[in-house]
Amino acid sequence: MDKSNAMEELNDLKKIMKSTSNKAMKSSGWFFILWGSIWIIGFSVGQFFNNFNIVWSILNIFGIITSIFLSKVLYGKNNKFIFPKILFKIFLISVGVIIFDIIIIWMFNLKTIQNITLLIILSTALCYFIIGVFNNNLLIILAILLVFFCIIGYIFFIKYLYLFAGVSCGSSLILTGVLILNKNETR
Amino acid sequence: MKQDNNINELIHQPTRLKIMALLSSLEEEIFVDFKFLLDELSLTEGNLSIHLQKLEAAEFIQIKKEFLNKKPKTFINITKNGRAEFENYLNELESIIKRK
Repeated sequence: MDKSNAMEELNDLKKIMKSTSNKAMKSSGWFFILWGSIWIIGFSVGQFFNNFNIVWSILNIFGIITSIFLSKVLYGKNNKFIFPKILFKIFLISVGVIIFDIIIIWMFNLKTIQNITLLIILSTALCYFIIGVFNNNLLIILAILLVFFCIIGYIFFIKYLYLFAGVSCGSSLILTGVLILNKNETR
Repeated sequence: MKQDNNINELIHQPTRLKIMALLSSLEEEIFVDFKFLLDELSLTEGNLSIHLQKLEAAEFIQIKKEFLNKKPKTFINITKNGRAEFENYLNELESIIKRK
């Protein structure tokens, strides 16, 4: 095989790999849209009403049930791509983040809901950053956006932090979802 | 089975090479539906089956058959061996390109 054949073959293979990877990841966009919407509603309601915990509990239960349903529909055996351990992986990541957050809240004695809100957004951003390094550059951009909005919210909008965080971070999640769903397939 | 340039002849065949590229781009535990491969590679069922059997015999892929709503379904994924062999193949291509 000569150099030009090898180059042509390598380019063709890379195109196939990129296209397949995009197709496999495409449906994950729906999860970002779902949780982005939940963040917008949850935080916005929290800004104007006092029953923050009840609203978040209901929204989280709704989000978890819808995510399980979505993963069955999108990654079940009727589809092109089968992810047998996807729910377990999402569960493990969620448990990891919750434990991480609880330890930080306890160690650093975080008491205000503003601080806890910022911690949750930042730890979510860290997760997306790590996943993005191995999977999808879009998630790195999403992580950077979430951190950026946290800093802006903390410095300039602390009084309206929930509303600001909900709209900015929730919209970033939704936008990422839409971009993943419409990601260009090279073939 | 290696030919000149240390290239694996079994993988080097164009259709099998595409199958390996397609499967290797997915994470380890992800399975692909047989019909998806058919659509992506524009092959006949028989032709695709023969290539898959060869790759399975070399332990580069694993094939899982299940019944879904009383209809048989075939899922395919790449093995660790297959992934390593495909990576060697890509490395070999890159080393050919770098050669003066």
